[in-house]
Amino acid sequence: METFLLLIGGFADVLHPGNLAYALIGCVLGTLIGVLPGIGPAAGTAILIPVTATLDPTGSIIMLAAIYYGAMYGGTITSVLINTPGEAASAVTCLDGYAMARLGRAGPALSVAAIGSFIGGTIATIGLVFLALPLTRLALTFGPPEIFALLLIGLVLVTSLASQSISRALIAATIGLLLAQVGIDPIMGMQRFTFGQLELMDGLPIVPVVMGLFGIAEILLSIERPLTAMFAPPVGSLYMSRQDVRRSAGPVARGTLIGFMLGLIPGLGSMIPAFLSYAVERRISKHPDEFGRGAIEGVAGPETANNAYANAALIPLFTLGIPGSPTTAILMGAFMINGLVPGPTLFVEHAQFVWAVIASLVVGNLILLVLNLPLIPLWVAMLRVPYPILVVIVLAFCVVGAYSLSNQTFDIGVMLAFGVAGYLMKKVDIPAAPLILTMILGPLLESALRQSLEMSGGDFMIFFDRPLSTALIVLAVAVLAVSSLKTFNQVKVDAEA
Amino acid sequence: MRKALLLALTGLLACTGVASADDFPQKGKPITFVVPSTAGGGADTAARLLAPLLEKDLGVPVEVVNKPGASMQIGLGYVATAKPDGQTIALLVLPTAASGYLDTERKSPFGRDSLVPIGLYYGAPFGIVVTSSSPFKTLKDVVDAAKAKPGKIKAGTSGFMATGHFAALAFENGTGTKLATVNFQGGGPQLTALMGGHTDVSMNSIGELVTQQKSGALRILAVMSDKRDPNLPDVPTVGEAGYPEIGAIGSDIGLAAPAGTPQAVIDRLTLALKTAMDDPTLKERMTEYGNTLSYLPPAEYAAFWDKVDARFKPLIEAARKQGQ
Amino acid sequence: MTTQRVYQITSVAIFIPSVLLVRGALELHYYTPMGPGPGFFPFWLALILALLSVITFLEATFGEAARELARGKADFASDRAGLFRLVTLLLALAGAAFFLERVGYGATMFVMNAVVLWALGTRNPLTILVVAAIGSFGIEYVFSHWLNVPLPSEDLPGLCPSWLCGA
Repeated sequence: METFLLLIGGFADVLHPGNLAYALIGCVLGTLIGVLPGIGPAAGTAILIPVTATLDPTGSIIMLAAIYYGAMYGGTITSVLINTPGEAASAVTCLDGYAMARLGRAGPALSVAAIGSFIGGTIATIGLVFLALPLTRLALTFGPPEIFALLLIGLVLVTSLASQSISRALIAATIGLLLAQVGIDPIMGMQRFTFGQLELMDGLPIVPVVMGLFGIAEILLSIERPLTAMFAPPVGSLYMSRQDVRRSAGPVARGTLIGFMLGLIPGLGSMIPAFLSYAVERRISKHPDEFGRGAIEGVAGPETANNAYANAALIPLFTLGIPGSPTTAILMGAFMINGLVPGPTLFVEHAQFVWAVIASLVVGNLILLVLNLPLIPLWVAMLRVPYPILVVIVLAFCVVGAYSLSNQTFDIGVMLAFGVAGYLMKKVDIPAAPLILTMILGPLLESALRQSLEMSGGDFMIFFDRPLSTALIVLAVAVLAVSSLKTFNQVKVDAEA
Repeated sequence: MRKALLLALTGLLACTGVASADDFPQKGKPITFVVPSTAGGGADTAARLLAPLLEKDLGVPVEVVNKPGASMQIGLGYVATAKPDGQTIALLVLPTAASGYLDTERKSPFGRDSLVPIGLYYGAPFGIVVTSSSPFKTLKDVVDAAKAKPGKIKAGTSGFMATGHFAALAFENGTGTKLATVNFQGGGPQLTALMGGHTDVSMNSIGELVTQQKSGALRILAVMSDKRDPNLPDVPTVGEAGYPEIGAIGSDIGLAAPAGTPQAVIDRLTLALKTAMDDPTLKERMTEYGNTLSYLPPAEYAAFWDKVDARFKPLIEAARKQGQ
Repeated sequence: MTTQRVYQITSVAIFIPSVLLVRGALELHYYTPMGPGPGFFPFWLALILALLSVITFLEATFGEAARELARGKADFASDRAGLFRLVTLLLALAGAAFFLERVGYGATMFVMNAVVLWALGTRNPLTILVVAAIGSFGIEYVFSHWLNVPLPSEDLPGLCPSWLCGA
């Protein structure tokens, strides 16, 4: 009851015109910056910290939080329209979102992303209000062995990103894992495959790789075709049909749950919930063959998971004072610049501020929805821009985005190289999505394995001494068994046909 | 648009003149302040608090540019090879910067001689920390447990060859014990693992612990420093806790310029740093984050730097050996 | 060239580097007292990749779909003009990466944009000028003034007028 009253107080603060304006400006700025390829939520919030520095603490945090989830949504727009994800998390959205756009269904794709984001974000915020403490305790039971087992499930699910041939998906996945080996290893600090390049010591930067494999490759593929046949998709209905709504309900619900739960575990990053949601939807779908060809479930699930994750990732920040993701780390920096130290004491010492920020998450998500639904026709109209001009604008933003990630031209080179790689992979039917996924999973897996073994002194039994990690490993094996069976049956059906 | 182009061309032709040491800082010419780590981190926050004050004193814009990567070597390598005219300066974090050239495995693009000190800015000592529900009440409890069960007490650090890793090694060397060192990827996962009971103790920069210390979730057993931290008057130093051989471990952050920068320019920058550090708000904020302002002029800073190199060289070699 | 041939070449193109990687991984520490060393995963992954490339080669050559693949025609650079556009764009991007820090963002991107527009068939000089300028000096202005993101601009300060790009 007390919580409820505090929340009401928070709403009263947020609905104050000044704070409402900050939330609105934050949503607009966040969406705009999310639309720029390469500048995802983390870079976007970091960039805009100085902009908010002049405001009072509540206003500045409200605005930054709005920028954060605004950017999460903004990344979707370019993924759907021009196959250029602004960050790794939206790479999953490219698969079916862009396919939908090619079918003239960019409108429904963007609508479901906006609505799903709203629902995911709002429910995660409600979870933050009422379940934050017990859930934090649950999340704390995830040590390195449990995280390793969880990532193992993700790795096993990679085949669900396969387009046609399983062996090609496995090739892509293995290449992704090998690319993840580049850099200083987490075990002995040795250089692996860096070829003496300083820039490679931290590994290949993931965002330029994603921008290259999807965005640049797509541009290369389309300009190669005769000029008259360049990208000009039909524009169908702008909003969702009744069938779309029906098909999206399940994925949105499951996406919320997946994003919310994974947001509680620090260090996973936002691509894993998005991908996991996609894999789950494809596994349980009655028409898995539609995935990759414009299935609305493939947009609804990941986009919801994405935003549920974004809001849930704030829970460890509020309850433990621990930032769970790069973006929340930046938000934490913003708290500190304003003289607020995040963590449990914040609820006691600055209760009014905390509840205002939490209420602003709900209000901000709503603003984002009402802001974006009417804008969808405008975004879709972007596809009407003559293609050469669209290409130039996209390239210019890609260059700025890749460069400003760490202010080095090396990253532009990476983007270019993977653009060519993505083009060639498309030509020989090797899917890009498994590569991206394993490239993100690889280093996390290796570190979690190493940390587990450091805890046990090199004894692998640590994974089976702990009930939670044992259960997760059993689940991973079960998923592997089911997928192999499914693949086997598929092959048999194909052979008989 | 045509007008813009015309202006551009005339501007190109008019572009002459080279800055000399006498007219530093040159009006309107911004100084690039390279932070070799990501935006939003502790060092970045400290740099962004300092930049406007430097700006005020020098009268030219000071732009903070983040060039993260490869344990700060990318950003520092960039500054080391920049024109030595004072327009490019770096935030120098010791011992991380030194581990670049002291560790033979890294093939660092710069050495001790490629950068010259402007002045020391602040220090962030490390602490040995446990959760408040831990059976370890004092540093002695940890040492005793580590002696009783060698290699079984799990100590979390924020990464292989991160400063916390050196802190764990200094603990082992100073107490003659053996820990199970678990190297995480960053402070977030490291602290979560400590709170979840997956590790027994943790080596952290005091600044990272301000929140949890205040809320009572964590207990700092000792500060790895020669003197007590003003924020934590009740926490003993490792020496006071009975283990002076552990010694001081911490990050020390200052400003540096490319070698070859004219002395007059360095002096001007040193003066700006000193003036900025007299600002009361800066001091208040920095203290709040668990940092201790500790100004040193170039000469003393250089001597300090040499001491850091000498202190960490054996620890870096020990860390190399540990993995194998 | 048939699709089958393309698939075979791909398999070989993956096989050769993966064998080299296996050799490279052998030079790294394979195992430590605390479990897999830095060379463990590279070794096995490269080996698996080599194996997978052999499998795809066999699939493409003798598999059930092989005959169909042998009839398929590879969809590479349909015509010379397409290839020209492709190469021009790649060169423009590579040039931009090379000159960005040497010349500054605005001027570099202005040239890159103009080249790309021209290569993609835009011939109206006004369109080229305006779009190229928006995509270079315009973006630079937004980033350095509104977003406070410093883009490289030092070495030829005169190219972008000071009222636009200056501090």
